[in-house]
Amino acid sequence: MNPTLDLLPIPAERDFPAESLVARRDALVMSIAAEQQHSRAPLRAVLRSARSHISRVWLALIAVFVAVLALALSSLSGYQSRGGTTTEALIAVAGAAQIITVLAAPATRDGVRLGGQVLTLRSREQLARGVIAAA
Amino acid sequence: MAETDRQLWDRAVGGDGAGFGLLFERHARSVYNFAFRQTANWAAAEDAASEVFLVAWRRRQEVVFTNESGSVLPWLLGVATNLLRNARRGDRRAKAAIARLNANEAHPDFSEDLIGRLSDEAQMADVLRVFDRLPEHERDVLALCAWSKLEYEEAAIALAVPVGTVRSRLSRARSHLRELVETNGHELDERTVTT
Repeated sequence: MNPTLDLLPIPAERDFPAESLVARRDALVMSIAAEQQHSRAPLRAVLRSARSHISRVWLALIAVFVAVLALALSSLSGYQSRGGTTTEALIAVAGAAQIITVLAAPATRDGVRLGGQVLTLRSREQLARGVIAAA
Repeated sequence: MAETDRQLWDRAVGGDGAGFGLLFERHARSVYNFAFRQTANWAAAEDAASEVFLVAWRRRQEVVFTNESGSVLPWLLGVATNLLRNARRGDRRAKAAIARLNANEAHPDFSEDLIGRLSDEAQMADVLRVFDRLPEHERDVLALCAWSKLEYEEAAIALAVPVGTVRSRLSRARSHLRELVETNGHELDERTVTT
């Protein structure tokens, strides 16, 4: 390629030592398999966290809706009887309690643990049961 | 028909470790010899080759294949270049300690192969003494184009620089090398004769 390089001859190429080629290949494959396994674990944690976060947000929104409904009813029905006002106040308290419960609920693998049940968005029934239990 | 590097790479990324094992078998020899020419030590080259593939795996998002053959080798040699460059910049005292350790652990074995390897190492060490006087980027481009026989486009992939940069660096490297050889001609001739 270059006459100058001819003045600096380098040794001929050699094969990778056969006895260690297989051992090193196997070690490499094991290493990358272990790294793949390791890299999937944080991904699972992120997904789990996202799922519980979504469940939490939905439950909180429902609770906010209940609370707002109670307050709206309360402000629109100034002429109502004392019994009606008490009902609205109870609904408002239940909504607020629900918000606190949902936000404080511990996250689990699939969603949030609430009222002895794990709530996920995949199960509307579960969600409804959880809301009722919390309320 | 044998699978291309890209297909094997995709298999590996998809979770099939055997695909990466096949890539290792395919390119280990080239990476091994490239590493030897940077270290002048066959044992270190063997370790470096394994390390290159592991680092390549960790940097798999950055992989580049050649346009024509779809080979991953130039990119692997680029990974090797960076890895060995960093090793060269490492603590000299640590290297000296490792060298002393290796010297102490060496068991005499006068097999023909071992003698050949020792001779290779001495010869390569002499060449590297001259090469080390070149600027790093010129040394890299010479090692890739002259010793590993990469095309300019492939060296550009390895070094992550434009093809024009490879050409200009190679041209400057040749000039510098010529000057070095002319300046140290007598010394080099003696070494060449003795090896």
